[in-house]
Amino acid sequence: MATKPLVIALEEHYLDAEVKAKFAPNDAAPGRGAGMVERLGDLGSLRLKEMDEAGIDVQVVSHGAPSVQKMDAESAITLARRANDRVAEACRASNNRLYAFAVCPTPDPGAAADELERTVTKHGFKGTMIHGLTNGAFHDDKRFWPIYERAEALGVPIYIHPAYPHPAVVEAYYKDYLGAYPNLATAGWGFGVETATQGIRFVLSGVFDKYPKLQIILGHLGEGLPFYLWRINQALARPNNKGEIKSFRDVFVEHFYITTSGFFSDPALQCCITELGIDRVMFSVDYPFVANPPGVSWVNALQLNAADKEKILNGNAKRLLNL
Amino acid sequence: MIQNHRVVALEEHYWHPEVVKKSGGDAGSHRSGEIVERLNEIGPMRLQTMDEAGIDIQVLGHGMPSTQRMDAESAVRLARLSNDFLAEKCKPYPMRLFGFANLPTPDPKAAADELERTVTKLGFKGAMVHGPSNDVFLDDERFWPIWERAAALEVPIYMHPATIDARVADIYLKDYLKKYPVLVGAGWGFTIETATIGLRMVLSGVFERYPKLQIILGHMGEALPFLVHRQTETLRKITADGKTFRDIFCNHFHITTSGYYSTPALNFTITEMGIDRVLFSVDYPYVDSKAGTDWMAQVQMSAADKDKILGGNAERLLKL
Repeated sequence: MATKPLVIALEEHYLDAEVKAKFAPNDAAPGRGAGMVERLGDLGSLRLKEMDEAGIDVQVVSHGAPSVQKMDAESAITLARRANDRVAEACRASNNRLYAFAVCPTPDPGAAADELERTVTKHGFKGTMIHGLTNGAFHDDKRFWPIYERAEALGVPIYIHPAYPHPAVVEAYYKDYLGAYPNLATAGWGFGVETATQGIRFVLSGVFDKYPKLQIILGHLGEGLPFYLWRINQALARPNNKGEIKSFRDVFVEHFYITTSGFFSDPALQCCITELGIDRVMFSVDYPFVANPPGVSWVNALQLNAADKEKILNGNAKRLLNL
Repeated sequence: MIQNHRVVALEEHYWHPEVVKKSGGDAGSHRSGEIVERLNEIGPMRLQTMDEAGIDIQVLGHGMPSTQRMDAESAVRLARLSNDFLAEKCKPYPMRLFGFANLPTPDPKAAADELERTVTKLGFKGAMVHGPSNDVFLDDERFWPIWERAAALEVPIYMHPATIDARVADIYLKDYLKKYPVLVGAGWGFTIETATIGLRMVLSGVFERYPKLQIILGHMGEALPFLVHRQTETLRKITADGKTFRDIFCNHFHITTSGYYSTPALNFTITEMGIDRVLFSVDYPYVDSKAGTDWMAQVQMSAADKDKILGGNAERLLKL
């Protein structure tokens, strides 16, 4: 490539001290370890230095899981507002290196919609990130639709991120192995199962018929959904399915973007590009849980034409996020 | 097209009336009258469908949940009965129809014995099991006598889905089951539970104990090939000598194309697992047979590799 393309990464986490203080023990676990705590708490020199070292020009930062999704409504609203104001300050000081997705107080959906609007219009935020379930409820439930109505009106996407899975599913599927492999419930499998389930439920809920411009971002190469498209489609076409959604594929490829966060695999990327089209695939790292340099060197080494590589590295994100 | 091997399909279902009566069959999630008729038939209609699709061999496995969700006594009795029934029904078509055994997993020792009996006496090619056994995943050590026997007999075990754990269905899917009942099955539930079983088998250490054990997963490996990269990164090394998820998965699993005629997913799976571990299958009668062979015919791939997928790999793995 003639000149180095701009590199934008958009699943990049921080932890707000006040929000983090209210996390349950399971949820606080990923933030342990001295290096991780320091990086998650930093929205300044350390973060920018590690972006520089890896060649990442812009991070769109978001809070770590589960953010305020498991709080009572009042705490969620108060803490979301304070955390958003603090991260806005850090973005302003960053000389256009850091942008933000809002912390979203989903336990009060009306307030969450208002907070999204406030942060987008007042702070220039690029959308919002929602983590796992809100106190056990999936976010396709109609009570949350005011958030999507507002996101569509504002023209910003919703990033659907995993959180520690529902305890009954952990009990049924993972608990026997958590002593030896705690990651089985999280990035090793449980995250993917629950977040892909959330993606399927969004499609079947009809939310995209109601809000046809709504766009969702999934990390981790779409939590596997691009690979499953053919089978989900075939299964939904079988007898006895009476719902309105006849083609999962058609809805998915019109309303979902995916990122490469924590999933730097050549064959998996190719499968996603083939199924979704190049315009819906965006680079991300999942900093600091995943290190920046392996992600950037992976994309640099990809055997892909320069125009498509530029779309993955910045073009698609610029268009989707109005950067 | 050069085809040096016979065309083999190996996730092809049938029903035994007494097993279905006891187990409740497939819970009706995607049944129609024609599907039931075909499940209950091992004869001319099945052979005609195979002929029209250009399929030389079907390896038959019972429909879910088979004998996995019964009391031990019923499971042992009905597994034996249905295995003898299947062998008898296949007898008129010695070069066309083969069997995977029903295993009475509620009694693991009896299941191991039944596997040996059906392989040595009836010429079965392995076994098919469906989901957990009375809510216990099959990686649990109580089931290891089955894996020990399969390794000793050098026959593979096909791990097929069944209606998923009620707790998970309740939390993840129940809101949509009225409109989309298939969501608890082939639409999504099958995938997450069967991939979970595959993962648990890898983590259990069963493959270190029985290095010759081979597992078959249908439905393009229940998407595990897609996750090999991420799981290898996140679960890190699994054995004391440093084997990763990828090492174990790619040495002990074969996958089939049953109900999953997607070229991007196929190409991806070949890249991750290697051509020798990918086998053609249909998922008869839930999925159309001819659509499967038509799909394979137009996949752009070397004739030698296509030959392996369509039959060569199955002939080797199942010693057909």
